[in-house]
Amino acid sequence: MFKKDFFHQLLRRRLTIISLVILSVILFLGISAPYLAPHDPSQVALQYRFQPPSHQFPLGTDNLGRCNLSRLMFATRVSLSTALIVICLTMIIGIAVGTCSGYRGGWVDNLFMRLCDIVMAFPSLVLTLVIIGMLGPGFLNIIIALVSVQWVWYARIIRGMVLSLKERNFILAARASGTSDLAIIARHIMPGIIPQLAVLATLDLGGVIMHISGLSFLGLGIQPPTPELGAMLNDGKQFIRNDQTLMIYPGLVILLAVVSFNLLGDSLRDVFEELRR
Amino acid sequence: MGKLLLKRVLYLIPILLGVSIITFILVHLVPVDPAQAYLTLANIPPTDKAIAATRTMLGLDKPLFVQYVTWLGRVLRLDFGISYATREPVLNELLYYLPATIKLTGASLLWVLAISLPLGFFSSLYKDSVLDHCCRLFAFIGASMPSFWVGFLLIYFFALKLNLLPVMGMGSIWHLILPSFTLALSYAATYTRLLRTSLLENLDQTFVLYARARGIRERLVMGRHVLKNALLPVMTAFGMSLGYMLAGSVIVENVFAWPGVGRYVISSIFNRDYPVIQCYALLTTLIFIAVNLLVDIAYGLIDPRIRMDGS
Repeated sequence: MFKKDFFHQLLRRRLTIISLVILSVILFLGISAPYLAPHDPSQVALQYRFQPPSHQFPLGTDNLGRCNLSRLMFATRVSLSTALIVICLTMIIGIAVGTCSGYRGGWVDNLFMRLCDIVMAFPSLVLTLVIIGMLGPGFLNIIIALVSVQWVWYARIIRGMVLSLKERNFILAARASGTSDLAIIARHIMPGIIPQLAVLATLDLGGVIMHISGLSFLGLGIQPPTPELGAMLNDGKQFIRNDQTLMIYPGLVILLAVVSFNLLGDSLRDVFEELRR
Repeated sequence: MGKLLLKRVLYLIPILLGVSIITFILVHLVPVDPAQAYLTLANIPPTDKAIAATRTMLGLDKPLFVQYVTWLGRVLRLDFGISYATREPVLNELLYYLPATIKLTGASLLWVLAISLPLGFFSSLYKDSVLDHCCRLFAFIGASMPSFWVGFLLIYFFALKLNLLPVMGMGSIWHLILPSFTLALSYAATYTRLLRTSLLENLDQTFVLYARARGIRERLVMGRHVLKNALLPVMTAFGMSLGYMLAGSVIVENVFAWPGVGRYVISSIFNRDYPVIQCYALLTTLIFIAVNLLVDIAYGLIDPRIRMDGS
């Protein structure tokens, strides 16, 4: 019943539909990049520099004669998958620490929460930059840096949710009837926090995409020649006088992705709140 | 109030200690030997003998705990070490670039206030009107635009196409307009939304109903009763944003070739100039913590409920 209501409510909103459509187009372009891209994204063809859109190159070519559309498709693929990896790892660590902390309490809780306090004392972008600064630029390192800064926020929120669930009667009943801690967490606590986490993760995905592309824009993230949206923008900036489309396309993809993730997250949250009432 | 202040400051001590430990440890996670990085930047061939000598000079041969204590002792005397690249004290270098960043952040704060206060206010006053919808659209799009993209679009339109403003660099007040607006945009959008929500929540309160029932003019109700209460949560967020803006200026500074701390730190990251990165982390985090503390104090001064809680 809940599921049916949920989708019914969700799909009744016009903005949700729009964001879902945009997201599926972006996701489709990203996933199908290796199969549908018209050209090899890193194939340099100097005779085709700065071509306007044509039948052969639907979005034109860049300064090295590479196909813009193919590069955008692969860049979307890279940016989105990196963002997904970051969010998944963040959630896993956040759930582990948060439930452990909230369910156990005591010194474990104290230890983790003080650690969170300390990490949160840094402005998050600064800590990310510093970790990358120490580890050096690169794909793996930005994932490490972003995850090690973000998990604390999830751990905090999840701990709070677990704390409030722990005192509820159905959990007390489960415990009184001798259910093991692990089973209680898996069967009774997780279902209670997953929906809220889904909202959080959706809302955060947009932010993570912006972070990744921002770091790549600075040259700290995904390294060329791998196409990435922020790195493409960085490449395009030198040609702002001759060909503005080089920087407009990747920015537009980032904007659309972030807007739709935010819209989707907002409507998910609204629907959950409505259903709870 | 004094008690609250004391409590807050005492609470900060373990946090600051933790911050220093993390900043210190991070350098030791480096995959490259700092001694080798030092020699490379100083253009000295990294022979075994030179590396050993540098390790002794940088104190890397001592146990970690001893290294931390000596490092902390120096940091407390404001000695953050010497840049590998320029051989100048790191703190001096960063303080040299800091004013430019503060100027940029300050100008952005003005933009944020100038945009979000009126938009949030009128948006909630005329809820569900065309104006409100426009403000909400602005709040939504503005928060989703990557700042480096906004920067380039602004450069293209205002500097290259219309030739109104300088493209890059720092100098006259005109140079400040585009970078500060770029930095401000997403915050202005967020605050428009936040203020609108906060105002609408307060408009639902019974004291508003009471004030209206007493026949107080609507403008006074809004100005004196609602706005004051609505601004409180916005203020806390604002304090946090100030710190994020100082850090977020990294991207904007790189877009506009603004000679601030952010640009300097990015070049240091590429140079593997670890003392600079370390000092940058400590300096910005200290500013961040100090700003948040000030906001807390201001909050306590304005809102008596918090003051009561603290003591």
